[in-house]
Amino acid sequence: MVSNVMGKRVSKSKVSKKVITILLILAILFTVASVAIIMSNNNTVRVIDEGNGDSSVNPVVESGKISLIINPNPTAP
Amino acid sequence: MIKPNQSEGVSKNVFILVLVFFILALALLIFSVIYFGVLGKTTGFAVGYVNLTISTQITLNVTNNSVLWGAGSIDSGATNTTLRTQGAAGGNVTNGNWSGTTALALVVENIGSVNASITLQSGKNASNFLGGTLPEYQWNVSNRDSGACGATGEAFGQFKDVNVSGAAIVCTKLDFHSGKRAISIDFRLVIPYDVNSTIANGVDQTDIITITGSA
Repeated sequence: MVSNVMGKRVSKSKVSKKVITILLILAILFTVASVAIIMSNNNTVRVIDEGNGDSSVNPVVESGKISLIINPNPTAP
Repeated sequence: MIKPNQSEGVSKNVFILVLVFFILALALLIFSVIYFGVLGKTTGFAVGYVNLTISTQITLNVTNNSVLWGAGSIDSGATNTTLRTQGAAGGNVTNGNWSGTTALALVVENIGSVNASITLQSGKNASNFLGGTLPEYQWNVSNRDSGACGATGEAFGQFKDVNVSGAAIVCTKLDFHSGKRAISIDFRLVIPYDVNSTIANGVDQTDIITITGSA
């Protein structure tokens, strides 16, 4: 502990800037290396649709119906 | 008092922060190396690809396949009666006493994996389905789901005479995505008072509509 001009006690426990810089650079390098490893090992399966499906698409036929019963009309206009 | 030759440093808090970052980065690197076995990949490391082709197919679902008018007759003294379906609502009747409750539009849904072109063909035309003086037998195709038909054909949005001689293209691009893939087919019948007696005999008269979906 040292005293400043005001007579108050201040802490002198500071870490050298060089140490901080080295730690920071190493941390960044490690992070970049990790990302590179992860990205290069991406084994995602990609689905590629080659679009040659015309021959595999067959027409489909369905049906509907309309029905009614018309009773005889006894009175003509 | 700080001595002139004493180097400036950073506070303990900053140091701890950087140290934690360093430790985390180191841990991440070690994890990556072990998990992906990087150290073991010296020779024989190969890369492969997986190709997957999804077959396209057209599948139509006629969710409502019957327009049932039931029994009725033309109002006394009327020249003709008009029966018209109205989508999911009951049918509309003019100058007649048909119920219309079960006369709902046909609904066609594309539940396949590709857009489809839709054609319609009837089994009968107005003359042989109804007969009499100036009968009419028409259909009108419309979107049941908004935007379902991306490229419309004939009889889309308006009533047109049914096509019995060949298939009529009513929608050239019916979407297959859920919520956007259904169309309605409404029908309009004008039954004249002098309808064919073999038809106006109290017997069920039916016509089959053929619906075809193609790529």
